[in-house]
Amino acid sequence: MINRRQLLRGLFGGAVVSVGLPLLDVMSSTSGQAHADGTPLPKRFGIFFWGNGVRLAKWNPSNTGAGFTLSESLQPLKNVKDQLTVVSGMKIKTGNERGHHAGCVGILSGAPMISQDPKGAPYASTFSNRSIDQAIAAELGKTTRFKSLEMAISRNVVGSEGTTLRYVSHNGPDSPNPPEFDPKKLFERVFGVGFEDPEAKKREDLKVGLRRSVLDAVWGEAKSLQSKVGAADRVRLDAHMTGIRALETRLASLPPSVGACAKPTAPGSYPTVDGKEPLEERMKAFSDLLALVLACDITRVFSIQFTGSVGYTVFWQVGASGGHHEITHDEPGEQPTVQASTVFTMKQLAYLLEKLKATPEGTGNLLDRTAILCSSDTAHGREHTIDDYPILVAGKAGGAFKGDYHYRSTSGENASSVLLSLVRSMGIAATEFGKGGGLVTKGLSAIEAA
Amino acid sequence: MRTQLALSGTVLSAALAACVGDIGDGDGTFQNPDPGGPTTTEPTAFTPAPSRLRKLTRAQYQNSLRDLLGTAVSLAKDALEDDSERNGFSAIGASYATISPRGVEQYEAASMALAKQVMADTANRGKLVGCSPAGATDATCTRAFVAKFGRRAFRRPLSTDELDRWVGIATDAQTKLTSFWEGMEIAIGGMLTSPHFLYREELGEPDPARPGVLRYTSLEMASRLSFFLRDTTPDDALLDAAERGDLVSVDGLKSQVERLLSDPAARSSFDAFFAELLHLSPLDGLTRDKTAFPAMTATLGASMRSETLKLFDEIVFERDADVRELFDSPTTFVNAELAKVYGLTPPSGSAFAKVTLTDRLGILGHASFLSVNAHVASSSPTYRGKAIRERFLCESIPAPPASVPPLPDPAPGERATARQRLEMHRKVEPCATCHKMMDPVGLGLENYDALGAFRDKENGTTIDPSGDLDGKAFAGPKDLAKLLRADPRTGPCFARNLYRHASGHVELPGEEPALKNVLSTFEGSGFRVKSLALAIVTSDAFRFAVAQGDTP
Repeated sequence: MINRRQLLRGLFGGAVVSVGLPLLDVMSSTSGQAHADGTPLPKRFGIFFWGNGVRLAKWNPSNTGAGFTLSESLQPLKNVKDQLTVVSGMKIKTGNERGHHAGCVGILSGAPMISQDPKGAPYASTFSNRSIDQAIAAELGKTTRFKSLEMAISRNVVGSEGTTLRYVSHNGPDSPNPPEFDPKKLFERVFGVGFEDPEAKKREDLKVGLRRSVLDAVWGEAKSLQSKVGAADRVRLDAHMTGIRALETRLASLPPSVGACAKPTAPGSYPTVDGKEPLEERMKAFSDLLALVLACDITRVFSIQFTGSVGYTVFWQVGASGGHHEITHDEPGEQPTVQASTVFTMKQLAYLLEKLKATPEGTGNLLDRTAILCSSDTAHGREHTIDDYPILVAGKAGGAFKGDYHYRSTSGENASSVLLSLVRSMGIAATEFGKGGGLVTKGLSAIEAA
Repeated sequence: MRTQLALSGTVLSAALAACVGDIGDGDGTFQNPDPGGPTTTEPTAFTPAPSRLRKLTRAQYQNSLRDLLGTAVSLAKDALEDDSERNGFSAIGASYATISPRGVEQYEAASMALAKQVMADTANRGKLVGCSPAGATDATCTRAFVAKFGRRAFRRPLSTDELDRWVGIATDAQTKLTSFWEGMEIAIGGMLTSPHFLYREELGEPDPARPGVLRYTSLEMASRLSFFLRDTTPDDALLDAAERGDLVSVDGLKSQVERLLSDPAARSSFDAFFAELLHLSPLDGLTRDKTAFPAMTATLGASMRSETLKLFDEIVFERDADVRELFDSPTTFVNAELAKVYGLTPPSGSAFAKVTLTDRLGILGHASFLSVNAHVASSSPTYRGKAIRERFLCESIPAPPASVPPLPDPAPGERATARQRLEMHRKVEPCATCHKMMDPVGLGLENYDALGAFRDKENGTTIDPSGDLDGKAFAGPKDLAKLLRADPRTGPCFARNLYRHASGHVELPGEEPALKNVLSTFEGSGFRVKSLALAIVTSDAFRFAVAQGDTP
């Protein structure tokens, strides 16, 4: 077992790399719900997002309730079906002001989009509220080194229509949390870059203390600037100052007190070659990394933008030659390529879920205490609809969700109720979620375990 | 005539209102607090726009570091957050964007790494610091450097408090690290992490002539000028002029504009504006299947971009000519791989050669414009029409509607051409209102495929590239190009776009009286961009502001 002093030193200066291995049974209390020292095992929340919806006829399971039958699109998730709650028939109630934009903001934040359409210029939009991951991270991220981590797989994301289509995670209007596209970069960000020479490392460690003082001064300068600007800029500086404090704290913080530690291997970068994105390889690398990050309790909240809203990812793996958004509208008939893209996407999700399930924690595994909201920017991609929304909850959040269950709403209930259930499943005593038409005061009890 | 020019954006307002009215199912209750753009009525009294903090764009950050540190600063593409584009420009996004927690990390890491690089450079660091330290600490030398560097970095002299603070940080670090240079590294990295560097603080001071109106200070104008014209931090000459108070007068501004526009940095700055206006960034990741598009190469996207910027540079800087020549220029610049796309004999070597094309005119025929506004595997008359409306005519295309009716699939052999395939989009609501704006124009460019190569048939059927632009008929792409050149909307639209880029916001109704003067100066100059730049800088819209207000 590694010397804890070494570990601590390593995390100063962004220097050495030391990672907690997944918790083993012997280290946990007999209940399997707590560490050996009695502190409860953490819950985790994630988002898995893809663009351009689904083909509903092949998405929704044909029967409901416990032990439902997986649909064609959901077949890849068969090995984690016990942890899967499918919710169908729900409606985004924030209004469908514009295709893709409204659904994206609605399912991720329960609130309406803000349109930014000055006359005579290209349109844009942004979120009006923070996204659900940030609502949850405000509680779950209080003690971890990173409040949340954002990842993205396909780079073929629309960047010209405001923050809505481009980013999943938002702190508020025009305030996204941009994702990392490169697994290697995320690795370096989370685990630091190693210094071979001990003298160089010592100097870097010394500089960390100085950098903290600098950040304190910089925070003070932001604070004094705040007194000179208007309200809108004060909000922007608030967000900036939150980030400064987070970094300052991180530079000082001790590593998480769980587990033994080992040095993981840095993943590759998986660049696009000849216009072909290695989506599968990137997703595997991020999933493997994420399992370690969660096991080590480096963060408890994450989001993965597999493909973007209106994204133009080319699913060459299933024989597509056109961009994803384009084929969802233009492919005739039963849209076999669009359908194959969805199945491919679910296979990638399955890798993540199986990886978490295969990572032991306590008497169970990582997926047990996790809930991942899996959804898209529209229901039926071809038609820009927002009723009968495709929603999966993967993981049971420590027994909060039923799992192996399909709930189908027959009355177009408010999709935000799933979001409120998710927030509450994390142990957060929220009484409402969303805004405007998306506001709910009750979760979706039908999917919650009794 | 002048009024008509100024009102270019209002032509389609009625149609748009109808279109927007059709969208949405009405159960959203949220009211947009910041529509951020002109309303329908044009006031006669000038009211400037509220001031906003403007975050440095990636290019501004990188260029500023180059100028401040006197070195070839190279940042990895993903070392910083991407710019956030809004309403067509990253300069507008930068007026609204926040710095995320990850962004703070990235700025801190990048600034510290660059400071380390510079202070470890024993050959050049002495020149940058400008004095020889007596030991690990040297109060005089440290103070002199922090004052000099701070003035450039914060684009104004440091206050006594600030000077004391950063000298204190440097001295503390020098003591703890027992190294003058490593201690300075911490102070340099820190100042480059400060909000005073990362945001342009152009807050204004009370205008002596008009109560309630703010005038950008002479120093703030130095920043506005420098970032607009050269996309980087002000140089010493500009800061000196600012400190003399020169930049609150039109005459003082004029001489600086002329000086800055003659700097090579102005060319790359305006190139970047034009690349953004044309939305050329997707060329970096241009994806085309080599089997379907044999001319495709890994570097073709970059060559396309170069072609377009070479033409822009020639018209604007080499010849200082009418910018509308961009629409109908018979000549362009090609290298070997572009020649292949255009079906020309390739020039020798890797250089670009000036050529005359016979099957197209101007930027509407550039492979860059045609490829960016296309699907991966096929052309897109809709994207092309949208780009022409939005970028060249300053018309808003409403966003896609909420519910798209399923259109019937074609029978085998039916609908060989894009015109036929898009026919239903122009007939069925809610698609038709907007597709009728975009497709008839874009269909005029159907003779060019998804990579910009000429074709006269699609799927064996002869392409019909005729159409009309708001009532003016055209027979094909070259006709369409000539129509845009002559269209009274294109010149003013170019001016509006440059103003948006320069000011960081879409013009507000209160600014119209000042913008009218800019537009008429531009027209009077024969649509020359250098004259436009001067007109923008010296206009009241660029020099004055109102306070932002206390409610968000």
